[in-house]
Amino acid sequence: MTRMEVAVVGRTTSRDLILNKIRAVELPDVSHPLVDGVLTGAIEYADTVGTFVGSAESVGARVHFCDTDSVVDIWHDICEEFGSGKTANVGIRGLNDDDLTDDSPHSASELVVYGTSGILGVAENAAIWVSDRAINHRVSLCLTQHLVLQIDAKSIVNNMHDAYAKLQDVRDDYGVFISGPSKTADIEQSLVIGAHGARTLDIIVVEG
Amino acid sequence: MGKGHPTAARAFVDNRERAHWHDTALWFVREKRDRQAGSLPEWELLRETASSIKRHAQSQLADYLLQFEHEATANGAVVHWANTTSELNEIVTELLQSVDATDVVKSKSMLTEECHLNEHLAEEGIDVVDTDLGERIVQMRNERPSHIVLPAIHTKKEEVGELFHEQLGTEKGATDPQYLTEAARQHLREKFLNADAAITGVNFAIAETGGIVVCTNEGNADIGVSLPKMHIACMGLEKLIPKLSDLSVFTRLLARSATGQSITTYTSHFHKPRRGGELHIVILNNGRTELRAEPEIRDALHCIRCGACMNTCPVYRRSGGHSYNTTVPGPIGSVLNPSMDPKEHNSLPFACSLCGSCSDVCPVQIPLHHQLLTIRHSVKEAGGLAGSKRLSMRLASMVFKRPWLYKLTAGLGKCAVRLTPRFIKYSRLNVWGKGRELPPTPRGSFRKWYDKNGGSGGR
Ligand code: SF4
Repeated sequence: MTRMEVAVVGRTTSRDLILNKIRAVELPDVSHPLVDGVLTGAIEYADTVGTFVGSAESVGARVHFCDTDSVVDIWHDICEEFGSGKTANVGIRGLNDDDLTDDSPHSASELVVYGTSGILGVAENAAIWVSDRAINHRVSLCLTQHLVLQIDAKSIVNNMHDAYAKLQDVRDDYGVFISGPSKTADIEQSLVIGAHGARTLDIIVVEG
Repeated sequence: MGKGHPTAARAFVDNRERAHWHDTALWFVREKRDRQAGSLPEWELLRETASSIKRHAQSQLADYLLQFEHEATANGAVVHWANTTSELNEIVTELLQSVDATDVVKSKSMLTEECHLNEHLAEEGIDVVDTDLGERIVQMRNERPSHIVLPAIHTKKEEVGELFHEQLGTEKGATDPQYLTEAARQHLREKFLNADAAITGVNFAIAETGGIVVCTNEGNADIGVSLPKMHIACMGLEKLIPKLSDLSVFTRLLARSATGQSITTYTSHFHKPRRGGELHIVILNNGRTELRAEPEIRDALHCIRCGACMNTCPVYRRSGGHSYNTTVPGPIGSVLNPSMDPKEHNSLPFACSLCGSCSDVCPVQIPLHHQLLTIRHSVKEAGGLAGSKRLSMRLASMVFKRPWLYKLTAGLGKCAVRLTPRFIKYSRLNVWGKGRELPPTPRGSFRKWYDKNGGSGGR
């Protein structure tokens, strides 16, 4: 046997060893506390959209409201604000998809503005679910200097319970709740916006 | 036997100004946590639910691990099992060597600290760069993290400025966090773009879907794993949760408890590797199954590593994370480490004033101070206790064996805390004050807790 093969055999044993150690100790049966994943009694907001906006601003995002027809204008305004560098977008209303075409995800490092749409937003914490279903390189969401996320006002839910309930049957290869621009407080607890990920987050809430 | 906590804490405690600064910084985080907890009427329900989910997961752990393995494999990930830290290190080394990786980026993972993976890989000629800003700072300083969520909380901005000036060429004397963070961003972008592979920890592993979840504020995990071909995720077997919807409970608790945020900036769910990439998941035991067999300690495996028990602990805040000489410090570290290696860490259960604040804030309701007391008893029985602590211990055990006496002394203690002037409490003549700031009067007292948990037999 080669060294690699010996190691592999050793590991199969580790797997069985670990499982046997677990099975050797029977713990009291505790039933799962949630029926169908539902937690009753979680907070609900009278004004979900308003709460979402408040949460978004408190995590350092900017929120723009518009109807379906004017998403494009807001997108162009944002791109203009951040200068003339490379931009790309997927799933923004009224724009043709124009994603990165290079095979290498490293190409995303040139992005100045990246825009895409989120599936839902969460009022309690301004988290927006974004998946890589339509996106060429998932890293674009983080590696771009500035991120723009479009969501429908109707897709905003109260809390994380409602959010995961909606995602229950979705099996995204990669999906991420994004709440605000990247940040850190690792130097003396001083909040700095713009750590490794996007420096800014603009949220376009589409009404109607 | 390692040097005990009191000895290791001495230098930190003797620098009173710094100890006070550290104390204040952590109390600030604790207060942010309180505001978040207070903003949700269902907070206690969430804690209870989280605790039950973890207990349920532990009761069917073998089945959930197998389900996870099955689902993850179906997703295209490769699952590896390591019974010991050296096995984990070997697996990771071989994986990295299989793609000729020499430059690796890592995002925060206490588990790889536990395995001393960086050191191991360095010996194999593989360079690992920690990409979380706080972790990068301690790595550049050749230290270990002093806190599990705020790795560089013991470091002042002047020190970071000096460090970055020497190693990254920032302006001498610069201390502005914004400027220094920007320098780190540029420095680490280089590392991300040139990495051959990425290593991350795991916050939650979902049996139902075979996915793993990683939570960061900086975005370092997402960038790190999405550029190179190989992503290796390392997790302890206790990270398993049964269902995707369970995440709703844990994501609501984690960041609120950790930093007082309503959620981390990125809560990333990985089910498949990036296009053309590989995803490997290494499951580590390293004594966790033994801990699981201990009825009074096993709940410590529910820990979601939020750090709240550290932020609130009067001893931790005033002695600093390094004084524990462990990967995980603070109350939870004082439970985990002596349980796994009693000889090395037998002073830790005594780095505690039994104020119970840790148990009060823990989002998964681990009865930390109760566990610490249990471990004290077993350390004492094993005779592994330094002489100076014996008398106070004897007193403590006498009091705790007699609930009526505890009731009395706790009452006196509370008055005394309120009435004693600060300079007496924290005077350097007061031996207890040195390692143990008297806690603010606890919200729910140990006494109440003790009654609730069936400890009334002694009356
Ligand atoms: S023991 Fe509880 S409070 Fe401490 S880090 Fe773990 S989850 Fe957080």
